[in-house]
Amino acid sequence: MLRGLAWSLGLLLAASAAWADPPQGYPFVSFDQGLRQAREQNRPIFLYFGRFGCGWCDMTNKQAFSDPGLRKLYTQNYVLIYVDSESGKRLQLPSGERITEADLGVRYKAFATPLFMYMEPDGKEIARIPGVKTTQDFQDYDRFVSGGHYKTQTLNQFLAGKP
Amino acid sequence: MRGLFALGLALLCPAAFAAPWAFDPAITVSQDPASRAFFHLEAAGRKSIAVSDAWVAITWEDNRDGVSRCYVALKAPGKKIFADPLRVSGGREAFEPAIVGLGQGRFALAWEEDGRVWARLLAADGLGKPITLGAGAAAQASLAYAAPDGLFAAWSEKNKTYWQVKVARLMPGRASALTAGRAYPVESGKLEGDQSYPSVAALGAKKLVVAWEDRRAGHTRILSSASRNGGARFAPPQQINEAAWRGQMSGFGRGTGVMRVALSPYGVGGAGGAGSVGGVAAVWADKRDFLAGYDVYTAFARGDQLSFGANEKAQDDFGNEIAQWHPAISADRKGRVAVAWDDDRDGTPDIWLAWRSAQGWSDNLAVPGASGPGVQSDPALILDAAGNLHLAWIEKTDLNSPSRIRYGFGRWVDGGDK
Repeated sequence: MLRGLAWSLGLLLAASAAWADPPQGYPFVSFDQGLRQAREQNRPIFLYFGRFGCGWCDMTNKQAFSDPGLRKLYTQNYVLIYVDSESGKRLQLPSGERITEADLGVRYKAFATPLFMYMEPDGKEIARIPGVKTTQDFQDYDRFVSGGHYKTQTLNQFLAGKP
Repeated sequence: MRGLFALGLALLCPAAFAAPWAFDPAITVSQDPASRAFFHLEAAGRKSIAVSDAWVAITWEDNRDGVSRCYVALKAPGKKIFADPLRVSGGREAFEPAIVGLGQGRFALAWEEDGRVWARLLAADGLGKPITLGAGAAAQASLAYAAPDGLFAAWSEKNKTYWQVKVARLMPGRASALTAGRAYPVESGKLEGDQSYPSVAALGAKKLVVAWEDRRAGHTRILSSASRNGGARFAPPQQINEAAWRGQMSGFGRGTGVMRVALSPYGVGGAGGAGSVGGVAAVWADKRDFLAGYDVYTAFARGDQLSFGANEKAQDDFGNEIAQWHPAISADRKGRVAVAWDDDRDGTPDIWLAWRSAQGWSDNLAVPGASGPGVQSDPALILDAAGNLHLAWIEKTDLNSPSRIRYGFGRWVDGGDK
C-alpha cells in the first residue's frame, strides 16, 4: 500500500518535472521569502521566471540545470527564487504591496520564459537574461556576478573578454 | 512613435478609427490621501465594474490601512463623482472583489477573504449581510446575472489535490439578504489538474457558460462548459484557445500559455425580445506567439450548443511586438462588443480599446484620459443598455508606485464604426 502510494507520488513528481516547473534538486523559494533571505544572508539572488508547461524552461532544466556542478554552484552562491509567471499565488513586495506572481511578471516584463535575473541582496537588478541557456552560460554569468564584474562592466563586455 | 504612426493612418482612413464613443474627462474614484496605498482591480473575469440602471459601481482591493481589503464605490444617477467608498470585506486580508448589476440600483459582490469566498448585496442604502460560498478553501470569484434566472457565482475551490471550479445560484432576498443554493462542480469526474480563475456568463433561459484556466494537460488552457439547467449540470468542457503547439520543442514542455479568461454575454435580450438567448464572447491573454509575449485573443460562442468558434486577435498590428496584459470584455444586448487591455507600445502602459464590427476588430484606440505619461493599467469595462462604455483602471506614476482608481465614461455616438 505504502509502496504503491510512494510509486504514485514518484510518478506524479516525475510528470510535473517533465512539464516545466523549477528544476529539481534546487532549493527554490517564493519571491518574498527569497528577498528576505537574501537580505538576511547578504547573498545575491537568482530569479527564475518560468511558466507551467514551458518548453524552453523544460529544455533548460534538463540540459543545463541537471548538471550536478551547476546545482552545487548556484545553491552555494545564490538565494534561488522561482516565479510561475501565470500563477495567481500571492506575494508581498518590500513596499508592502500584495500582488500575484503573474503580476510580478508584468512588473519585470517577463513576457517570454524562461527569464533569468540576477539581483543584489537588496533586490537591485544586476542582469536579465531571457531564453534557453547552457551550463557553460550559467557558469559564465555566475563569474560575472560572484566576481563583482558587473560593477565595472556590462555582461556583454565581460563575456567578450572571457578567456 | 507607433502611436503617432497609427494616428497618421487614422487621419488617412477616418472610417477605420472613428470610435463609437465620445469620452468625458476621467475622474478619480478613490485614492489614499497620503498616497501610500496600492489599489488593485483584479477580479476573476475582470468584473470590477458594473451598472444597475443608471447606477455605476466599482470594486477593488487596497491596503490604505496596512491590510489588503475590498472596497466599493457607487455613483448615483446624474452625479459626476463617486460617493465615498464602503468597505466590503471584514477584518482579515481580502482580495479580488467582483461585482455584477442586478437592476434597480442593486448589485452583488463576491471576494476572497481569509482563504474563503464571500458574497453580499449592495444597494443605495448600504451593504447586505455577507455569506460564505463553498465548503472550503476558495478564491477567484466571478458573478453573473440574467433576468429572470437570477444571480450566479463561480469560484475556484481547493479539492483534495487540485483547485476545482464550482458554480452556485445565489438568491437575493428582502432587506439585502442573500442566500446561496447548492454548489455544483463544472466537472463531476476525477480532477487531473488545477482549474482556476473562472469567469461566468448568464444568458437567461437557464443557460450559463463558465470558462476557466485549466492545467490538466501540463500547460494552461482555456476551457469552457455550458449548462442548460441553471448550473446544476454542465456539458463536457471544450477548449477555447486554439492549440499552437506543433511539437517543435522535441518533447520539451507541454504547450503554450494562456491566462485570465473573461466572458460577457452578448445579444442577450436583444432582437429576439427580453429573455432571448444570444451568445457569449470571451477574451484572454494568449502566448501562442511566445517571443512577443501575451496577445489579446477573443472567441464567440453562438448557437444552441454554445461552442466557441475560431479565435480572433483583438489587438492590431502595432501591438504585435508588444506584450498585452489584463484583457477585459463587455458586450450589450445589441451585440456591441468591446475589449480593453493595457500595453506599453507607446513607451508606458496605457489602456487600449478595440471593438467588433462586421469587418472584424477595429484598430486599437488609446483611451483618452487613460493613456499618456505614467502607468494606466488593469482595465475593467462594462457597456450599459444604451451602449455607453464605463471604464475603470489603475493609475500610478510608475509600475511600483502607489496608485489610485480612475473612471472614464464613453458616450455611445451614432456614426462610429459599429
